[in-house]
Amino acid sequence: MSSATIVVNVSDAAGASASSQVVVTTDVVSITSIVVTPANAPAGTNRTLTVVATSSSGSALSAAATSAGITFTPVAGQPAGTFVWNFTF
Amino acid sequence: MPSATISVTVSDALGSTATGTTTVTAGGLTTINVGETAILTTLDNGNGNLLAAQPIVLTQDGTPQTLSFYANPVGGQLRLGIYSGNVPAILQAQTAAFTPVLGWNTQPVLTQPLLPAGNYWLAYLPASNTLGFRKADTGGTSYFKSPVTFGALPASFPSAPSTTTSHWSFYVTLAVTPPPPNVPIGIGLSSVSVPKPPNANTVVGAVNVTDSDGGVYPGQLVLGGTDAAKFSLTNGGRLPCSLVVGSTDIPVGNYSINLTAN
Repeated sequence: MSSATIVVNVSDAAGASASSQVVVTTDVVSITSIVVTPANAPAGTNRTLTVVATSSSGSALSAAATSAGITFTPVAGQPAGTFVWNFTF
Repeated sequence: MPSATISVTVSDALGSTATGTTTVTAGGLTTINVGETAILTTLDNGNGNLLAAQPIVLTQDGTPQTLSFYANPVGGQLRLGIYSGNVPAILQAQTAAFTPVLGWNTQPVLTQPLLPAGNYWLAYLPASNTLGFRKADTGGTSYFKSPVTFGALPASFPSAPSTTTSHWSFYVTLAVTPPPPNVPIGIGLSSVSVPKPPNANTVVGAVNVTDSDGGVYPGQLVLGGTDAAKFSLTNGGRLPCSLVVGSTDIPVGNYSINLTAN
Protein backbone atom coordinates (compact mmCIF):
# COMPACT_ATOMS: atom_id res chain seq x y z
CA MET A 1 0.00 0.00 0.00
CA SER A 2 1.43 3.35 -1.05
CA SER A 3 0.02 6.85 -1.15
CA ALA A 4 1.00 10.50 -1.39
CA THR A 5 0.31 13.37 0.88
CA ILE A 6 -2.42 15.54 -0.67
CA VAL A 7 -2.88 19.23 0.05
CA VAL A 8 -5.95 20.99 -1.28
CA ASN A 9 -5.93 24.72 -1.21
CA VAL A 10 -9.09 26.72 -1.88
CA SER A 11 -9.10 30.49 -2.16
CA ASP A 12 -11.56 33.13 -3.24
CA ALA A 13 -11.15 36.42 -5.02
CA ALA A 14 -10.95 38.25 -1.73
CA GLY A 15 -7.93 36.23 -0.69
CA ALA A 16 -9.64 34.06 1.86
CA SER A 17 -8.48 30.48 1.75
CA ALA A 18 -8.95 27.09 3.32
CA SER A 19 -6.85 23.97 3.06
CA SER A 20 -7.15 20.32 3.77
CA GLN A 21 -4.32 17.83 4.12
CA VAL A 22 -4.47 14.05 4.02
CA VAL A 23 -1.49 11.98 5.18
CA VAL A 24 -1.38 8.24 4.68
CA THR A 25 1.56 6.20 5.84
CA THR A 26 3.66 4.79 3.06
CA ASP A 27 3.89 1.06 3.62
CA VAL A 28 6.40 -1.28 1.95
CA VAL A 29 7.07 -4.90 2.83
CA SER A 30 10.56 -6.22 1.97
CA ILE A 31 12.10 -9.66 2.17
CA THR A 32 15.68 -9.10 3.21
CA SER A 33 16.83 -12.72 3.45
CA ILE A 34 15.60 -16.11 2.30
CA VAL A 35 17.90 -19.08 2.97
CA VAL A 36 17.57 -22.85 2.75
CA THR A 37 20.02 -25.01 4.68
CA PRO A 38 21.38 -27.30 3.50
CA ALA A 39 20.76 -26.12 -0.05
CA ASN A 40 22.47 -29.09 -1.70
CA ALA A 41 21.99 -32.41 0.03
CA PRO A 42 20.60 -35.86 -0.68
CA ALA A 43 16.93 -36.26 -1.47
CA GLY A 44 14.90 -36.68 1.69
CA THR A 45 17.13 -34.44 3.77
CA ASN A 46 15.50 -32.43 6.54
CA ARG A 47 16.02 -28.76 5.78
CA THR A 48 15.30 -25.39 7.26
CA LEU A 49 13.94 -22.35 5.45
CA THR A 50 14.65 -19.04 7.14
CA VAL A 51 13.10 -15.79 5.92
CA VAL A 52 13.62 -12.32 7.31
CA ALA A 53 11.26 -9.53 6.28
CA THR A 54 10.42 -5.99 7.29
CA SER A 55 7.50 -3.61 6.97
CA SER A 56 8.25 0.08 6.67
CA SER A 57 5.13 0.86 8.64
CA GLY A 58 6.17 -1.44 11.44
CA SER A 59 2.88 -3.30 11.27
CA ALA A 60 2.62 -6.97 12.08
CA LEU A 61 3.88 -9.43 9.43
CA SER A 62 2.67 -12.84 8.43
CA ALA A 63 4.19 -15.21 5.89
CA ALA A 64 3.60 -18.43 4.01
CA ALA A 65 5.92 -20.69 2.04
CA THR A 66 4.84 -22.87 -0.87
CA SER A 67 6.39 -25.36 -3.22
CA ALA A 68 4.76 -28.19 -5.10
CA GLY A 69 4.82 -31.43 -3.17
CA ILE A 70 6.58 -29.99 -0.13
CA THR A 71 5.01 -29.53 3.27
CA PHE A 72 6.38 -26.70 5.38
CA THR A 73 6.15 -26.89 9.14
CA PRO A 74 6.44 -23.49 10.84
CA VAL A 75 8.84 -23.19 13.74
CA ALA A 76 7.38 -21.01 16.44
CA GLY A 77 9.13 -18.57 18.70
CA GLN A 78 10.95 -16.52 16.07
CA PRO A 79 11.87 -12.84 16.46
CA ALA A 80 9.56 -10.28 14.84
CA GLY A 81 10.02 -10.31 11.07
CA THR A 82 11.74 -13.72 11.04
CA PHE A 83 10.01 -16.87 9.81
CA VAL A 84 11.40 -20.39 9.99
CA TRP A 85 9.99 -23.57 8.53
CA ASN A 86 11.18 -27.15 8.52
CA PHE A 87 10.62 -29.27 5.45
CA THR A 88 12.00 -32.35 3.78
CA PHE A 89 13.16 -32.47 0.19
CA MET B 1 19.39 -33.42 -10.10
CA PRO B 2 15.84 -32.74 -8.88
CA SER B 3 15.18 -29.26 -7.60
CA ALA B 4 12.28 -27.20 -6.37
CA THR B 5 11.59 -23.49 -6.25
CA ILE B 6 10.24 -22.29 -2.95
CA SER B 7 8.06 -19.20 -2.93
CA VAL B 8 7.54 -17.13 0.19
CA THR B 9 4.89 -14.45 0.49
CA VAL B 10 5.05 -11.98 3.36
CA SER B 11 2.13 -9.69 4.18
CA ASP B 12 1.62 -6.99 6.73
CA ALA B 13 -1.46 -5.87 8.57
CA LEU B 14 -2.00 -3.01 6.12
CA GLY B 15 -2.24 -5.35 3.16
CA SER B 16 1.16 -4.87 1.54
CA THR B 17 2.93 -8.01 0.34
CA ALA B 18 6.33 -9.10 -0.91
CA THR B 19 7.29 -12.38 -2.57
CA GLY B 20 10.69 -14.07 -2.61
CA THR B 21 11.91 -17.31 -4.15
CA THR B 22 14.82 -19.66 -3.63
CA THR B 23 15.82 -22.95 -5.18
CA VAL B 24 16.71 -26.10 -3.32
CA THR B 25 18.48 -29.01 -5.00
CA ALA B 26 18.38 -32.66 -4.03
CA GLY B 27 20.51 -35.54 -5.16
CA GLY B 28 24.04 -35.76 -6.45
CA LEU B 29 25.05 -36.62 -2.93
CA THR B 30 24.47 -39.48 -0.59
CA THR B 31 25.11 -39.88 3.11
CA ILE B 32 27.35 -42.21 5.05
CA ASN B 33 27.76 -42.78 8.77
CA VAL B 34 31.27 -42.89 10.18
CA GLY B 35 32.06 -43.81 13.76
CA GLU B 36 30.44 -46.14 16.26
CA THR B 37 26.87 -46.78 15.18
CA ALA B 38 26.30 -49.68 17.57
CA ILE B 39 24.82 -49.28 21.03
CA LEU B 40 27.78 -50.45 23.07
CA THR B 41 27.26 -52.40 26.28
CA THR B 42 29.49 -50.85 28.92
CA LEU B 43 27.84 -48.05 30.92
CA ASP B 44 29.81 -44.86 31.40
CA ASN B 45 29.16 -41.49 33.04
CA GLY B 46 30.86 -38.92 35.26
CA ASN B 47 32.26 -36.90 32.37
CA GLY B 48 30.78 -33.52 33.23
CA ASN B 49 33.02 -30.70 31.94
CA LEU B 50 35.23 -33.29 30.29
CA LEU B 51 36.00 -32.95 26.58
CA ALA B 52 36.61 -36.35 24.99
CA ALA B 53 37.45 -37.20 21.38
CA GLN B 54 37.47 -40.58 19.64
CA PRO B 55 39.13 -41.27 16.28
CA ILE B 56 37.49 -41.81 12.92
CA VAL B 57 38.95 -42.07 9.43
CA LEU B 58 37.25 -40.54 6.40
CA THR B 59 38.16 -42.53 3.32
CA GLN B 60 36.56 -39.95 1.04
CA ASP B 61 35.77 -36.25 1.15
CA GLY B 62 32.52 -35.43 2.91
CA THR B 63 30.40 -32.68 4.40
CA PRO B 64 29.17 -33.29 7.95
CA GLN B 65 25.42 -33.08 8.35
CA THR B 66 24.66 -34.36 11.82
CA LEU B 67 26.34 -35.86 14.86
CA SER B 68 24.64 -38.68 16.76
CA PHE B 69 25.36 -39.64 20.35
CA TYR B 70 23.73 -42.33 22.48
CA ALA B 71 22.67 -41.19 25.96
CA ASN B 72 21.26 -43.15 28.90
CA PRO B 73 20.53 -41.94 31.53
CA VAL B 74 20.16 -38.26 30.72
CA GLY B 75 21.13 -35.19 32.70
CA GLY B 76 22.32 -31.72 31.75
CA GLN B 77 23.26 -30.48 28.34
CA LEU B 78 25.70 -31.73 25.73
CA ARG B 79 27.72 -30.37 22.85
CA LEU B 80 29.19 -32.45 20.01
CA GLY B 81 31.89 -31.61 17.49
CA ILE B 82 34.55 -32.78 15.05
CA TYR B 83 38.26 -32.08 15.32
CA SER B 84 40.85 -32.73 12.62
CA GLY B 85 44.43 -33.90 12.96
CA ASN B 86 46.45 -36.99 13.65
CA VAL B 87 45.63 -36.17 17.27
CA PRO B 88 42.57 -34.00 17.98
CA ALA B 89 43.68 -30.50 17.03
CA ILE B 90 41.48 -28.09 15.04
CA LEU B 91 37.72 -27.79 15.48
CA GLN B 92 35.94 -28.30 12.16
CA ALA B 93 32.29 -28.27 13.15
CA GLN B 94 30.07 -28.49 16.20
CA THR B 95 26.44 -28.64 17.25
CA ALA B 96 24.59 -26.19 19.41
CA ALA B 97 24.18 -27.12 23.05
CA PHE B 98 21.20 -29.41 23.49
CA THR B 99 19.47 -31.38 26.20
CA PRO B 100 19.87 -35.08 25.40
CA VAL B 101 16.95 -37.48 25.43
CA LEU B 102 17.18 -41.17 26.16
CA GLY B 103 18.65 -43.07 23.24
CA TRP B 104 20.24 -41.74 20.10
CA ASN B 105 20.51 -37.96 19.89
CA THR B 106 21.05 -36.64 16.37
CA GLN B 107 21.90 -32.97 16.10
CA PRO B 108 22.75 -30.83 13.04
CA VAL B 109 26.16 -29.24 12.89
CA LEU B 110 26.13 -25.45 12.86
CA THR B 111 28.47 -25.27 9.86
CA GLN B 112 29.08 -27.78 7.10
CA PRO B 113 32.69 -27.54 5.95
CA LEU B 114 34.02 -29.91 3.31
CA LEU B 115 36.25 -32.36 5.17
CA PRO B 116 38.95 -33.92 2.99
CA ALA B 117 39.62 -37.62 3.48
CA GLY B 118 41.84 -38.09 6.51
CA ASN B 119 41.92 -38.50 10.27
CA TYR B 120 39.27 -36.85 12.43
CA TRP B 121 37.95 -36.99 15.96
CA LEU B 122 34.40 -37.04 17.23
CA ALA B 123 34.26 -34.93 20.37
CA TYR B 124 31.65 -34.56 23.10
CA LEU B 125 31.41 -32.26 26.11
CA PRO B 126 28.74 -33.00 28.73
CA ALA B 127 27.70 -30.39 31.27
CA SER B 128 26.80 -32.89 33.98
CA ASN B 129 28.29 -36.00 35.54
CA THR B 130 24.79 -37.48 35.46
CA LEU B 131 24.70 -37.88 31.69
CA GLY B 132 25.33 -41.53 30.86
CA PHE B 133 26.55 -43.12 27.66
CA ARG B 134 27.81 -46.43 26.30
CA LYS B 135 31.40 -47.33 25.64
CA ALA B 136 33.77 -50.13 24.71
CA ASP B 137 37.47 -50.53 25.35
CA THR B 138 38.84 -51.61 22.03
CA GLY B 139 42.50 -50.71 22.26
CA GLY B 140 42.22 -47.60 20.10
CA THR B 141 43.30 -44.28 21.53
CA SER B 142 40.86 -41.57 22.48
CA TYR B 143 41.85 -38.27 24.06
CA PHE B 144 40.22 -36.30 26.85
CA LYS B 145 40.80 -33.16 28.85
CA SER B 146 39.23 -32.11 32.14
CA PRO B 147 38.05 -29.71 33.30
CA VAL B 148 36.73 -27.91 30.24
CA THR B 149 34.01 -25.40 31.01
CA PHE B 150 30.78 -26.38 29.31
CA GLY B 151 30.03 -24.14 26.34
CA ALA B 152 31.10 -23.78 22.74
CA LEU B 153 33.84 -26.28 21.93
CA PRO B 154 37.34 -24.75 21.88
CA ALA B 155 38.72 -23.94 18.44
CA SER B 156 41.84 -25.92 19.31
CA PHE B 157 41.72 -29.10 21.36
CA PRO B 158 43.19 -28.38 24.80
CA SER B 159 46.88 -29.12 25.19
CA ALA B 160 48.27 -32.04 27.16
CA PRO B 161 45.18 -34.26 27.03
CA SER B 162 45.03 -37.68 28.64
CA THR B 163 44.36 -40.87 26.69
CA THR B 164 41.98 -43.79 27.08
CA THR B 165 41.23 -46.96 25.17
CA SER B 166 37.51 -46.22 25.36
CA HIS B 167 35.28 -45.12 22.56
CA TRP B 168 31.58 -44.35 22.73
CA SER B 169 28.40 -44.88 20.73
CA PHE B 170 28.91 -41.81 18.61
CA TYR B 171 29.00 -41.21 14.85
CA VAL B 172 28.87 -38.52 12.21
CA THR B 173 26.64 -38.48 9.13
CA LEU B 174 28.32 -36.95 6.10
CA ALA B 175 27.11 -36.04 2.64
CA VAL B 176 29.45 -37.51 0.08
CA THR B 177 29.61 -37.72 -3.67
CA PRO B 178 28.58 -41.23 -4.68
CA PRO B 179 30.96 -43.20 -6.90
CA PRO B 180 30.02 -43.62 -10.55
CA PRO B 181 27.70 -46.59 -11.11
CA ASN B 182 28.66 -50.00 -12.42
CA VAL B 183 32.36 -49.79 -11.65
CA PRO B 184 33.75 -53.15 -10.46
CA ILE B 185 35.58 -52.50 -7.20
CA GLY B 186 36.14 -56.09 -6.10
CA ILE B 187 36.22 -59.56 -7.69
CA GLY B 188 36.22 -62.87 -5.86
CA LEU B 189 35.40 -66.55 -5.95
CA SER B 190 33.26 -68.31 -3.38
CA SER B 191 35.70 -71.22 -3.41
CA VAL B 192 39.17 -71.75 -4.85
CA SER B 193 39.42 -75.49 -4.44
CA VAL B 194 37.63 -78.47 -5.94
CA PRO B 195 37.45 -82.03 -4.67
CA LYS B 196 39.47 -84.70 -6.34
CA PRO B 197 39.26 -85.57 -9.10
CA PRO B 198 38.75 -82.19 -10.77
CA ASN B 199 36.82 -83.58 -13.68
CA ALA B 200 35.55 -81.61 -16.63
CA ASN B 201 32.77 -79.15 -15.87
CA THR B 202 33.28 -79.36 -12.11
CA VAL B 203 32.24 -76.08 -10.50
CA VAL B 204 35.11 -74.38 -8.68
CA GLY B 205 33.11 -71.53 -7.21
CA ALA B 206 30.67 -68.73 -7.87
CA VAL B 207 32.10 -65.48 -9.16
CA ASN B 208 31.20 -62.40 -7.17
CA VAL B 209 31.77 -58.78 -8.12
CA THR B 210 31.36 -55.81 -5.85
CA ASP B 211 29.75 -53.03 -7.84
CA SER B 212 30.41 -49.37 -7.01
CA ASP B 213 26.72 -48.56 -6.69
CA GLY B 214 25.83 -51.67 -4.71
CA GLY B 215 23.85 -53.23 -7.52
CA VAL B 216 24.54 -56.26 -9.65
CA TYR B 217 27.54 -55.67 -11.86
CA PRO B 218 26.17 -55.71 -15.42
CA GLY B 219 29.44 -56.14 -17.31
CA GLN B 220 31.27 -59.18 -18.53
CA LEU B 221 34.03 -61.13 -16.82
CA VAL B 222 36.92 -62.49 -18.81
CA LEU B 223 39.10 -65.42 -17.86
CA GLY B 224 42.86 -65.03 -18.20
CA GLY B 225 46.12 -66.13 -16.66
CA THR B 226 48.50 -69.03 -17.12
CA ASP B 227 45.89 -71.77 -16.85
CA ALA B 228 42.92 -69.99 -18.34
CA ALA B 229 42.53 -72.59 -21.05
CA LYS B 230 41.79 -75.27 -18.45
CA PHE B 231 38.73 -73.44 -17.06
CA SER B 232 35.70 -71.57 -18.32
CA LEU B 233 33.00 -69.21 -17.08
CA THR B 234 29.33 -70.06 -17.20
CA ASN B 235 26.68 -67.67 -18.50
CA GLY B 236 29.13 -66.15 -20.92
CA GLY B 237 30.94 -64.47 -18.06
CA ARG B 238 27.96 -62.38 -16.97
CA LEU B 239 26.62 -62.53 -13.46
CA PRO B 240 25.48 -64.83 -12.04
CA CYS B 241 28.28 -67.05 -13.24
CA SER B 242 30.71 -69.62 -11.92
CA LEU B 243 34.22 -70.73 -12.66
CA VAL B 244 34.19 -74.34 -13.85
CA VAL B 245 36.79 -76.81 -14.99
CA GLY B 246 36.90 -76.88 -18.76
CA SER B 247 35.76 -79.63 -21.04
CA THR B 248 38.86 -81.70 -20.35
CA ASP B 249 39.72 -83.38 -17.05
CA ILE B 250 42.75 -81.87 -15.38
CA PRO B 251 45.20 -83.53 -13.00
CA VAL B 252 45.42 -82.67 -9.33
CA GLY B 253 47.52 -79.55 -8.85
CA ASN B 254 47.51 -75.79 -8.44
CA TYR B 255 46.37 -73.60 -11.28
CA SER B 256 46.61 -69.85 -11.80
CA ILE B 257 43.87 -67.86 -13.44
CA ASN B 258 42.84 -64.21 -13.52
CA LEU B 259 39.34 -62.81 -13.56
CA THR B 260 38.89 -59.41 -15.17
CA ALA B 261 35.71 -57.36 -15.17
CA ASN B 262 35.47 -55.20 -18.24
